[in-house]
Amino acid sequence: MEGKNFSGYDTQDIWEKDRDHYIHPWTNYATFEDEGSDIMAESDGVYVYNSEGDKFIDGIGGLWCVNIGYGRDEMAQAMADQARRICYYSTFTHMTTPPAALLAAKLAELAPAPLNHVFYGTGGSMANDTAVRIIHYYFNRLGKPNKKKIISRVDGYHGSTYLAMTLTGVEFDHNGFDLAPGLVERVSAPYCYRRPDGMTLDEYCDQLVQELEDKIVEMGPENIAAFIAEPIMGAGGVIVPPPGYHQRTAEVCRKYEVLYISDEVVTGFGRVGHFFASEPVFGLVPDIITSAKGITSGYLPLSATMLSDQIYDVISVPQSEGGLFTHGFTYSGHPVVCATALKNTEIMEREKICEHVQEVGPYFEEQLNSLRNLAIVGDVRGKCFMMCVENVADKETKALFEPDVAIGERISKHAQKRGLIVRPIGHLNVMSPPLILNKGQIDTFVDILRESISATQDDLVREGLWNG
Amino acid sequence: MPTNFDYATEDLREMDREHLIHPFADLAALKEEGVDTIIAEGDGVYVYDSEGNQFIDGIGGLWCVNIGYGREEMVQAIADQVRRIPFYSSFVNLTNPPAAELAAKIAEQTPGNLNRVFFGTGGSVANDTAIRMVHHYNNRRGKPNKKHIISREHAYHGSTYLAMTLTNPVFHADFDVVSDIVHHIPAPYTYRRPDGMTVEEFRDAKVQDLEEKIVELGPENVAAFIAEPIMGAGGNIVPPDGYHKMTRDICTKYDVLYISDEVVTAFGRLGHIFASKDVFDVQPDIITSAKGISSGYQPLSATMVSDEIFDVISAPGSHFFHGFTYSAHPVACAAGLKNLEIMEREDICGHIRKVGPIFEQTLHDLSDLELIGNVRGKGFMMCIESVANRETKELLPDEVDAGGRIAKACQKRGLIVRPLGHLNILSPPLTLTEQHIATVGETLRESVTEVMDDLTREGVWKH
Repeated sequence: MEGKNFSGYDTQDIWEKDRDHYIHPWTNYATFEDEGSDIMAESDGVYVYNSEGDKFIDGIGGLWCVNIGYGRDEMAQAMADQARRICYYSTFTHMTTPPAALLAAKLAELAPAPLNHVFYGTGGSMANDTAVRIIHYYFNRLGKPNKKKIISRVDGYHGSTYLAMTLTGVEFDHNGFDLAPGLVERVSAPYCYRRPDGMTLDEYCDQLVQELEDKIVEMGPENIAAFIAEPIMGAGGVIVPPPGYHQRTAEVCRKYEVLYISDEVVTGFGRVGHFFASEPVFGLVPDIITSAKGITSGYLPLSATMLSDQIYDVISVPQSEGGLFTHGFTYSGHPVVCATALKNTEIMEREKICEHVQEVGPYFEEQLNSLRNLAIVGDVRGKCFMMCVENVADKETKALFEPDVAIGERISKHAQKRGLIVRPIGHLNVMSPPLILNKGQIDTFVDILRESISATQDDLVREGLWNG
Repeated sequence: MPTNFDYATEDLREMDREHLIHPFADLAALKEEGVDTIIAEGDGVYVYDSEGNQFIDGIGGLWCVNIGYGREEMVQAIADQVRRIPFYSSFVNLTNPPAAELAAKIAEQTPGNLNRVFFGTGGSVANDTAIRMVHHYNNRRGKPNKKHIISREHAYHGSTYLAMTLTNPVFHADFDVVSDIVHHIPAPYTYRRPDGMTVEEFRDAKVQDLEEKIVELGPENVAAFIAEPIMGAGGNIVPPDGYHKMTRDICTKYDVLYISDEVVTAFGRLGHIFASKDVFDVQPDIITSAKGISSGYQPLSATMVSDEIFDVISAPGSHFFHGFTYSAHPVACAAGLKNLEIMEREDICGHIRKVGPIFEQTLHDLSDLELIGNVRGKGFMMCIESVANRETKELLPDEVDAGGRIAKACQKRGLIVRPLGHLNILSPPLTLTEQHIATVGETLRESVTEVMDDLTREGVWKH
């Protein structure tokens, strides 16, 4: 495209440095040594470019996060202005910076009514780690030192610190790593597509709500501190719960004085058409919301853990005269990061990006649903700009391909060759594009995906891995 | 120098009071009184509050703004990278140019064979990651019981659930920590060693504490020892000469990994990019770094591991299921690259090796003040410890808040120092000149003198 210059990139040199020195998240060392990495170097709007100048529609929004799209000069300006004013200052104890204070007030305005208190971190893992640590502190302060266990869900994804990965319910991701002992209990995911045969959605919802209640009773409500749930499960497979699920699980939580943590790291900041999805989309007012990603559109690392007045009123009573709330990070409230988030929110409001998603999101859903006539597409699900295709070997039985077929990866590779990036997760392909995607771009997107799945089907037949 | 202070101070204070939960704060006091300082502008070694008052920043933001404030080159590097690509995932098989360049650049600077870098967004994340990697490493090499970590009293390693578990138990107050896996041995707190013990005897005893703890737990159960070269937020504690090398040898003897937490000490604060080898002659298996790696301009951290560890965790067939959205954030990495370039071009490490001793001497010169029991530290990482009685080293009662009083007296005079209980910590930008150092020394002298007068007048201190 105009103005982009790729001559400065020595692709081979960058590729080698990366392979020899950078440890990637979720690296697959079966292939990494030989294949190394694709280098993403430039961007504009909904497009990204590798270091050779190849252009792609960014179907994953960086990683569910570049909500306002790439190349926003206003964002570069906001960061530059703030870095010239003050590039960093501590918010420990009794100091603050203007952007940290302004953003806290703005977030409190955007969050559901009682969530008025913000703790900052630099990513979703930290936001969830912090949420649980604060809940422990809260129940200690209330004199309930046994009320500490957290219930999370199979296939929930809550991050990768020691504690956040313990919350994470994606079994596969625990492979070869350790988890915090005795802290987390799990209940089933509300995986409607794979619910028992013959069960209605309402019956399925009843069963899931009952399972949560049974788990609380089994463990003893006096031992259960919180339930953590993503409104729509993200990395676990874009799982949308049956209608009423969140409201009803929240009621169960209230009944047993179990706090409800809504992990909106992915769903916040417009992805499903609202700044926060919990209340407007799911009728849920949680005790805590955690947010990251879209909060800055990924332009800088930021997260927020937002607490209700009720929790804040307990934790802000000191354990002793002058006693400190001994939790926090150097980069809690980083001024450049907070200034970036303020600008991001301003852009979202000015351009009515939530309204755009409400309008165009259903079109994206509809177009992706048209892929259902392809033989291996078992399910298309999600909401607005948080979507997923589940590939199956047999639509009738919902049987999966063998893992080593790497069906998701095959489709992603075909798509990338055709100028579209979609994320493979096992047998799924996940899509979370920038929220500024328009209808024309959606048409291109879905056309490429259709071709890619068809081409993959042809490959599978040719290789004798599937009978069609 | 900034001239436009168009800040609505009272509005900001109110928003902050109502909505921001501060780290390590007395939340009850904040709820009542709000913050007392809104830092709004910065330039060189100076910061300015929202009213335009100027301060020498004696704490470098929070041990981190090593190259100083207002670096236009940093601003440009950040803005340029945002215009290229502000973010992209580095999961699985994706990368971006600044990430690859910075990983290679850091690998060049690390001691020995610490050639592999994992990026995070802060020191807590770097240490949390280090332990998770150590566990993974021992799982991969068939030693699933080798998981316990030995840390030290007075240690500060961060504030995630796991990082706080590594940290001094004093900070755990009413928070929970991971049960069982972390064990704290005594710190090499030379100033408060037992009466009559020589520094060498004390050192040997502290080294022996480590060996005994390993033996007690069983070497087959101990995965790693984690130590800051100089302990930071736990009281700026410098170990006796030889301590690190001797503890390293103990670790080697029992197949225990040595993690050097250089979140504070790296990137010039002690006159070298990394202090472990160059200052303390220790070759760690893992170094964690943050703060100075970007001079605080961007949230960035690195966990650097040896080839031995990497070879095990990257053996064919293994999958590394750990990482963060913002691992290798391109803008943060671009800031890290520019920061290193500036440090090298201006020979900031050389500057510290030259003026660091002057800074140390200037602060040691305060030792004639009756309230000051100990001055310690190295380079631009210094601390004064206030005591009620220099003979007995007895402390003033907590509620006297000696450190807080000194910090306030300094701030009134245009210098920010950090109070930590009875301590005051200094970790200024590394661009501080000899002239600034003289000003810091004079301001501290006046401030401590004023506090001594106040304490005497109030009858809470006799000397």
